[in-house]
Amino acid sequence: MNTSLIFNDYKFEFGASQQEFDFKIFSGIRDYNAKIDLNWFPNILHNVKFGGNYIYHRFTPTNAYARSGDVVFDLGEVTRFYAHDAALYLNDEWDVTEKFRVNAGVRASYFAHVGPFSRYVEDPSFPGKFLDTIDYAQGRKVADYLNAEPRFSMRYELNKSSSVKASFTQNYQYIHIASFGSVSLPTDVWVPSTDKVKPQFGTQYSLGYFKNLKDNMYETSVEVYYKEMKNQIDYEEGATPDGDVRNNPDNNFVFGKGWSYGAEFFVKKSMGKLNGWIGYTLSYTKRKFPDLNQGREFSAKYDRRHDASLVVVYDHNKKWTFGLTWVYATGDALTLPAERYFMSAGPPVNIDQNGQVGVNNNFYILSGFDKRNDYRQKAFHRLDISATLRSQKQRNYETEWVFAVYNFYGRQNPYFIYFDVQGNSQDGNQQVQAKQVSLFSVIPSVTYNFKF
Amino acid sequence: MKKYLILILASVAMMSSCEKNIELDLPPIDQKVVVEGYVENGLPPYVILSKTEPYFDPIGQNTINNLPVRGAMVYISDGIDTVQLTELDTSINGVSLGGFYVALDSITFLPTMIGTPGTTYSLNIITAAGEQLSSIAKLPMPIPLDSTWFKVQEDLDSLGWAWARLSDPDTLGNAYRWFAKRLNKDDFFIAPLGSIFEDRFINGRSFNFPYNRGSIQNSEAEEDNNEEADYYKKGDTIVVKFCTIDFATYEFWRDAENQVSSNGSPFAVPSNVKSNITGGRGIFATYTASFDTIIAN
Repeated sequence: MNTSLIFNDYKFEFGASQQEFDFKIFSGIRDYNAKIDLNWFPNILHNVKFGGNYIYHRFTPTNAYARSGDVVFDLGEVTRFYAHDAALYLNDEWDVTEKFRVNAGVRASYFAHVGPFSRYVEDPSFPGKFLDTIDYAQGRKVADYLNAEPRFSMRYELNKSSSVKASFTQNYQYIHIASFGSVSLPTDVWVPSTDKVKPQFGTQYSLGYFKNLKDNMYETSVEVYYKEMKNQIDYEEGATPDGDVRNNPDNNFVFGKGWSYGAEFFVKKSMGKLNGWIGYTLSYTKRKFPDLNQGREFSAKYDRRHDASLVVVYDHNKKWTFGLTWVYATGDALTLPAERYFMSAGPPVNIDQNGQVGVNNNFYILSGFDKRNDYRQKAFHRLDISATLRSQKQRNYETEWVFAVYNFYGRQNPYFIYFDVQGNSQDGNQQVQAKQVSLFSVIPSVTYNFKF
Repeated sequence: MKKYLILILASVAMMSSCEKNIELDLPPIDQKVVVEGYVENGLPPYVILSKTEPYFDPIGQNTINNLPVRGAMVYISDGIDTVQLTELDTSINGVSLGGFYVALDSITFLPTMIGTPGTTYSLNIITAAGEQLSSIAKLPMPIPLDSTWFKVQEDLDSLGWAWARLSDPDTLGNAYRWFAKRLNKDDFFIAPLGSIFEDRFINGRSFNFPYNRGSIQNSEAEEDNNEEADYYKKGDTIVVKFCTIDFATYEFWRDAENQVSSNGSPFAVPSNVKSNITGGRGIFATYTASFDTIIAN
């Protein structure tokens, strides 16, 4: 039996002030967690695990404070979400025959969003205008969900060196993250399932074939999978962080579905002086939301068509070990503007109170977007190498020098792309240049490890 | 249990990021019609029609002049009368006004309609190519500023911002836009970035607020690139054009200013500027202006 009590507290605060302006945003998550896990062996063929856990969550999604001059903006009460999150599980690992093992289980999960809570009711024809708020007292239920999550997996040994595995899993996720831009930022918002946000529901199927070669010197495998995800969340088009202030963040969410499928190939050599592994995954991850991308399907940000890695370790002798790691991944999917258009930054014809006429020739270049995540950043790849020198083992300590080079061939991997508007409309030489920013070029390092 | 002591003795980490120009290969686009429609109090409504272009096409000297959509039929209705706007094809200060349609009589050049606060206007456009666009916007009632003044910024002896006091009415949904020009220095009213605001967080309050001096984007003028940038200066006569705008005009400029100030940054949300035009891009904007003059001393 294993019992634990856990307390987690995460806080984030960001502020800025400049002369007449002051600004602060803060967010956080606090969890009280208790869990118990038990084991039961009814006989030699069964290993039954069961247990439960309970978490009390307190979410503080993005809240803000702002002041300009002597005005402190009325940003409403600090909004928080409180939730009970409980689960019971039972799992049996059953050796049906010597060659056939089944792992079957079920998890019952219960999630309740409770007060204190204020639901802002927005006027559908006038976003930003609230008709009403519905207040829930402390501990009062706002919404709750009870679900069963079955899981099943099996392994069948075809012979001494090969086997097949298959699995089926369903699960519910009650905690969600939503982000605004294409880069993760502290303005990403964690929210629980509420009356508006239904739990995310995933179903996954996988099938694999595993074979060892040359007296287990090589392990190889091929696996295929398919995953379906319902009740995915995202911000509605055009949402900005200030839309979450004096509002419930989930009022700005839209909902859709996702699916993902792919195949993984893996070869590993684990004996001899030279060992390591090669892995390759081909995958597709798609999303479809009625209210995003005009209802058309689109690639998820992390839709990685190709993902490969190579790890090689060479034990030259007792003193020296050499290592090499190479990784490759398809670039992130990105939304880029398709069109540009010019707008006069104010009424072009200016007439002041004395009747003096002027022409506004300050023009802004605006962007028009069409397909979501339709552009790919350049592929990410990188080679790291290392050489490790071990000292002779002393009685109570040993030491190790590691000489390494990160990104050996200095690949400029894309971190993000931005556009630079150069020139101005008055001189008629305005233009847009795309720029790619990369972090970390070649980084050599020397590390000294001392174990005692 | 083993304990570990790890010392990173030397690491030549080139933490500085590096940056390079890249060419992006984007698919062809369907050009859309861009509407800039204006109804201002006391002025005849006018509309400028142009087209969108592929994002990275080079911008030549004449690009702005080449985009106008000519030969469209443009109608504005105030609920009682409907007028067809007259197309003018001239240029002022080298800026082509092709694709410029105004509510003036084509012979007498007298206004056929005048913007009146409290009126809802509808716009209907049929281009020569047969595209149809429409929009509706209300010209709001004026909400003038209570007072305006200049204040030197703390330790700067002659530079400062324009300040104003506003009493926001106790009804939600009021939105504002600030323009200003310096007499004999600026040719037109300039909106600084952040020129728009609404009353969601300040509803029904009276408060003071400052505005910096706006400049045209990427201005090369000396005063926009030295310590005077963003500031007004003692001796300036500042004319403030303070406008109440309808909520759609607010939303358009909120998103447009976000796009302009984030310049395609990855931290910005890649989304379209919210538009009240059905069938194209742009805005049918309404501005009810009140004017104030500040003498900076």
